[in-house]
Amino acid sequence: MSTINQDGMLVDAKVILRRYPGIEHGKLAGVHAIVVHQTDAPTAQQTFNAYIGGSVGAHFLIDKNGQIYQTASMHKRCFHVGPLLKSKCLTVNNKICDSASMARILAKGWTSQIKAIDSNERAKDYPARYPVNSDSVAIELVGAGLTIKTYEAVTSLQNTSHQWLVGELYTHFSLGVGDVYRHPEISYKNPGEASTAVWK
Amino acid sequence: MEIRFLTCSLIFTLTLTLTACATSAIDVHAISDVYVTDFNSADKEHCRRSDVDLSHSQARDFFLRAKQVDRQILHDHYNYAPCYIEGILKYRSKSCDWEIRAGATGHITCGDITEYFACDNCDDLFSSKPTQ
Repeated sequence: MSTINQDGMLVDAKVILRRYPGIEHGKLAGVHAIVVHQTDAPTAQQTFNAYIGGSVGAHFLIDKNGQIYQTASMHKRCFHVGPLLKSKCLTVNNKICDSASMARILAKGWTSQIKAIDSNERAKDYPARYPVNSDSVAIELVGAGLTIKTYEAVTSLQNTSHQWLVGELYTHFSLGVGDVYRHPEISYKNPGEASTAVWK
Repeated sequence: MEIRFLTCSLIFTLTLTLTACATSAIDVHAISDVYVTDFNSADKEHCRRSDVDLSHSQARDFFLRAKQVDRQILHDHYNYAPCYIEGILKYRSKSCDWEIRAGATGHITCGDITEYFACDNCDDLFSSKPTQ
């Protein structure tokens, strides 16, 4: 069983701690969800290079050989969700959406619609909405985009490590399988991202 | 002395040319015959033709105004819209395919080469109207 030290780092032989302060942006008050990403780069080094300069990023990165790196403290926020949140009630349970206001939003054109949905959703608390940067940790799986819509398949070694990591985070933060989301589920991202990632 | 000057000039010109090639894979000013040929949506209820209803000339204008970005920038900083128009264009006598998505992103594919675009000042091209 892993532990989390006072710096918000996961201590276990399976995890290499390689923290990049440039991708940490303020305090992360609590962890209510996990968001699974894919890097859109073929090697871990390319992502590390981007992290050196400071950028958007994730708390963990899993290389194609299954090696887990922790790249940001779990006490710190990473910008990983994207600027606009999708509607959870529209996707998961249409009955709990405020139908009158949602109908007005959905009548708008796509660009105005996604901004209005974001504003509507951010007025809610998790789990009524999808997770945001300030209440979630992010896991990146190394993998390049292959075509406009597809990504490299997540390797079996990556998926084994991913399942272990997700299991540890469940325990540390009292989460369940319903608290893990693929990035394109929660914001407007390429639908192929992390589509082959698995967890229990 | 003159030979040395000519050599330096040649190296300078060559460097400039190579730099220009490296930073701009597609010279958008060389594209022509831009035609819209189709519309597609993976979410017909929420992303409609009216959200990306560009004419042939507006499609060309999109590529002229957009910046060329790598996939990583597109992935990290732009919204992926589920609907898009697509079409064909000519680039240096080659026929190429293109897509423009409702989120003001797009790409041009010429043979094996795909270049990605994102436009931060194209709101007027995507000013879709409410349906009700």
